[in-house]
Amino acid sequence: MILEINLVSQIPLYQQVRDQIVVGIAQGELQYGEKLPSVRQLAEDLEMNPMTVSKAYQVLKGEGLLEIDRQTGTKIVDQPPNLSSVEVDEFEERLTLLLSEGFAKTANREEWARRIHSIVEKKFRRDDLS
Amino acid sequence: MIWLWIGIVIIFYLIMMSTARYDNFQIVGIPMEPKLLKSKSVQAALNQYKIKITLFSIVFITFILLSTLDFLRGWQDTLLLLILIAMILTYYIIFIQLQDNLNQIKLHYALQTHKARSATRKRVDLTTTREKGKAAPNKRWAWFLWLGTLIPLFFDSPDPILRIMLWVLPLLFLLLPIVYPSSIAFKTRAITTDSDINKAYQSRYEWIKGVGFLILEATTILGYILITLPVMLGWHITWLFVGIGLIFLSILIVMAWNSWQINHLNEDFLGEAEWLVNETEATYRWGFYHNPADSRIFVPKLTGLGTTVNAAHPVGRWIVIATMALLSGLIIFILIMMTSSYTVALEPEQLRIDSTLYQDLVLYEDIESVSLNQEDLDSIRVHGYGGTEYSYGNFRVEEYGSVRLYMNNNNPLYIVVEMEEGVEPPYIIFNEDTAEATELTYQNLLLALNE
Repeated sequence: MILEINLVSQIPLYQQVRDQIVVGIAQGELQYGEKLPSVRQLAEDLEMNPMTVSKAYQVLKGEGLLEIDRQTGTKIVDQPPNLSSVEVDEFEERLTLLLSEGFAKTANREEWARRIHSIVEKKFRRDDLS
Repeated sequence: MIWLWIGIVIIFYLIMMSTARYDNFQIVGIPMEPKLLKSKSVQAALNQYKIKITLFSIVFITFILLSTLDFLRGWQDTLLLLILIAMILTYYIIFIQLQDNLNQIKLHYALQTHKARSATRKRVDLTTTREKGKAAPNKRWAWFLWLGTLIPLFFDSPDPILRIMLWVLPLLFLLLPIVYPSSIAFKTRAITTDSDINKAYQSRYEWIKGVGFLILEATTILGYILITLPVMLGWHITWLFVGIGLIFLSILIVMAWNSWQINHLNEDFLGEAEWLVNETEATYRWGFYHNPADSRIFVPKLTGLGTTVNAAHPVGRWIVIATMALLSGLIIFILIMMTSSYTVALEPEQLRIDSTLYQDLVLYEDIESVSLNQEDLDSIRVHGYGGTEYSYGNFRVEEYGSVRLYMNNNNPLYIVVEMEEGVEPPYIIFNEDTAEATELTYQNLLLALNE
């Protein structure tokens, strides 16, 4: 999976790393149980402070998507973590806000429904996510 | 001696020429996409560089040959050293000029093609980054080869300074296995969206650089052994030249092997490359790798084999300063050696010989015999100074073994002082600047001994 970092973006570097790994897992570019580069390796290749990469990994670990082991290294969890009903509610809330931002400017219900369907169909094709 | 100097110029020439090779999507350490490399302006800059290096190499070889002229003979050592300094400075300036030229061309190209944006983005392939460092030979090999530096310790040496050096030099060689991991820690290339191609490229590149480093390490250590053993075991001087010749030959072979491998790698992968490598990675200041964004002290060399220092790192900066100071000190030391000679004085009770590095006070009663000689001396320097004009220090001489030597090499006549058993050094061999003066000193020494 290719990770692309934009150095002049407003989004913090660690957030960019975290976001792209999440997208990679969701879209099937990264497999469950797959090993990730070590903090040092990734920091060297991105010419970043190792703390930045470490922070991204810690956030992902907190979200239940990564396992960090001193001996075996960092890997994506073997199984997708189960979402609690509280977390599902949170996602729905965030999604509602995001859709509202678009809907407030272009109030075309069919257009948004088509776009959402298209994104889900094209980008999230993993069996284990269906 | 002169052939050795010409050999050094040829090695420098080959190193400088191979530096201008397209290696890992970089040229003289500057990332460049294959399309731009083929452009007329880049090719013209490279040709200009190669012509300059070739012309200056011819000039330096001519100067080295001129230094053998009779009327310059007394100045030969100084001239050769000055030629070496001038050569390093000239090549350094030509190299920096090429880097500047290429950076200018790149900037111009980026403005024309709106590619300046790429400098604000970095791409890595997570799968390839994960495999980093696995394709090169294991670091244990670098440690295993280092053990070779301990071989000379198995042979006993009568010279106390040499004995210390045999313990100190392996410690210096420790730097080789220590920097080996950093010499293969390249930034991985995400040259395409296909991880398999990225991985194949990265692992072959790493393997070439790792194996190249180990062969160079093995060659250096073999050279150290081949130079040390003839000195310690009193082998004929020919073995020393065989050792030096082998080192030169191996360096040339390693360089040729590296070029051959890189050319093949380019042939296989340049067509595959979809986008330019990360732009911000290579920054240079005064020809040194200078990258504040890189947290490493030691970084793999971007041109050729081995490791270099990141001058932007606080520790790296001090390493650069210390190395420069050490080199300057060494040059000043050699210059002092070259401009100084030694003095011989016959005092009432003793023979006194003084030089910058050594002093011998020989009591007449400790002398077993003296003789005047003019047969050629087959000698190897153990430590001391050996120039074309003067040689002084501890030498191993074919006929006598370990001796203290004070010689004007242009005067074939010399005095051999054999000491009583148990007195160190067992022999002192010296002469004056002319045959007449040497003969007079010899007569006076005989008189002093008879009294």
